Amino acid sequence: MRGDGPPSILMVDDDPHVLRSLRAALESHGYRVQSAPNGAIALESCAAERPDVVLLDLALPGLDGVDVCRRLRSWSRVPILVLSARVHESQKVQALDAGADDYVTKPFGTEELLARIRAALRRDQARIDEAPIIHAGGLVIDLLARRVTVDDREVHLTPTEYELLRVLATNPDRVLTHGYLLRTALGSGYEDALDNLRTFIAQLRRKLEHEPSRPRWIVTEPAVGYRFRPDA
Amino acid sequence: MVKRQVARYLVAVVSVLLATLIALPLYPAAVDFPALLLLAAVAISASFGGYGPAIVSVVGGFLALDFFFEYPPYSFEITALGTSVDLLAFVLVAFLLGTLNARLRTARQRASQARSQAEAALMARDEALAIVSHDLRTPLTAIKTSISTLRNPGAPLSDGTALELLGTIEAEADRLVHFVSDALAMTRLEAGITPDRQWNALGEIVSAVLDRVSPILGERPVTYDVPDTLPLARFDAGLLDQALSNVLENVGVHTPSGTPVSIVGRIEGGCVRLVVSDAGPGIPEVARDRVFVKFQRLSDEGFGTGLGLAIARAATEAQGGHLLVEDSPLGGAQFIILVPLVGAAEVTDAG
Repeated sequence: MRGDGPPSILMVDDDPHVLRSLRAALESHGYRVQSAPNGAIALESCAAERPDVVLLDLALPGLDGVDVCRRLRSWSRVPILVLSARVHESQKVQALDAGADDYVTKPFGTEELLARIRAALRRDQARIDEAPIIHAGGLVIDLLARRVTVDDREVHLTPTEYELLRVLATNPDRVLTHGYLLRTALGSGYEDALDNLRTFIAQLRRKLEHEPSRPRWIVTEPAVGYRFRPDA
Repeated sequence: MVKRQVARYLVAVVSVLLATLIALPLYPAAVDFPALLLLAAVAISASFGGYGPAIVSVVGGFLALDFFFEYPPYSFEITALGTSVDLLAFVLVAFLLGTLNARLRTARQRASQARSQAEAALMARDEALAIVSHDLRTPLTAIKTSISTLRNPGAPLSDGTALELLGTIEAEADRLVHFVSDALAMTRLEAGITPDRQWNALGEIVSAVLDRVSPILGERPVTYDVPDTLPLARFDAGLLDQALSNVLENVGVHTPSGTPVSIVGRIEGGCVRLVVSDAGPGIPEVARDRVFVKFQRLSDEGFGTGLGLAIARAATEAQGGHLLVEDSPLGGAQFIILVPLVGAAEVTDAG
């Protein structure tokens, strides 16, 4: 969190009613809230106010949500939570590909939104703390020694499997798209190799999970990507 | 239909007979008269009755012409060139008018078919509109009344009542959300979607869907049988997700809490095969088509939108598959989702 006091949230949505009710919900839970009615103002506001989380509607007038994600990511690592309507399914994947952290489908319950905001803040805090050892239930990943254990039993991973696990685990609770995982974990030459990604994930689950077919750590987001669930 | 057919042939026979009877006393004073009369009979039969009666009248007319009106009379021997020419004229007229008659009849049939289709579509639309407006109005009414009461209560409200009204507002808003997103999903599927087929692991999709719908399935024990050793397969994961979620939600709404549910997934015969069985009341055979029709509910219980199974079927069919329902070995209903893999042959309706 930047500075002292309660975390601040920037809401970007062009509907004044949505903004008003969101503001009431968030302020009542102790957050400081700013709002922006379009992408251009949102970017300016991000630069000036440095919010702790950005809630970004995808269907914006002018500069659309995906563009805002891309531009924001060029200079900021602030967690971006995308608010997407079901009709903008493909835009949602584009936004995640462009660097958004997570998404909530409109209309959402306040509880769900608050949980996602807390997860985003936790993640951001974890990134700042930069611990070299990740603990997730019985799973321990030592990033320095490149050693992985499940319930104190060492698990041998191939370099690609380890890299995949590292990328997932250092982004806890965040939806990583197929495209992102292929680019970052499997590297060049594998950009379109979704079948390879599936195979690596299956191997990883077989080595880590107690019940590979009902995974607790590496969770599937159908047609979007994967999510690492640390507190399963 | 049969009566009309008989009438057509009757017209052919009677018109030839009449022509012959009228021509007989005049012959041989007016030599050309019989041929012309019989030609008229052929024309009437063909234009009124089509090909079949036309052929009857041609044959009948020609035989009459040959037998009564050709020299020597009362024999079937053909001696004059004129008789053959007459036959040709008969055939020509029969063919032309018969064709016209056939075209006219198909045009009429098509028009009446189109009319009845349009009427059925209009009726279905009116029915759907009535259900939609009812489904939208009911929660809206509840929300509006609750809000009015909270804002302008006759007497001060107790905390309990106020909380109850707020609860109603939230629940009814949820119902509206559910309804609107289902209606949107249905509209999108009806408008046509190009499937996005990618390499997928079936088990991944099924377990993710199961995780998501587990609050709806609640206490029901779920048997899960999708081996993680299944080969990867190319299909649209989003559409399969949509189909399976809606089938499972339907199970959650229509089967008693605590009854078992089983999910079996296989990749065989060039397709993905998902079988969801429940131990609920089942679906009677006569209603098995109706459950997949938009806005058709078999019972008034539950909060369903009447769209779930219609969406499930449309989503399955959008990638060339089938959604079937039959009796379940668990005693309730069993839904089978079949999705052909790319390059594989069309799926057959094997139960």
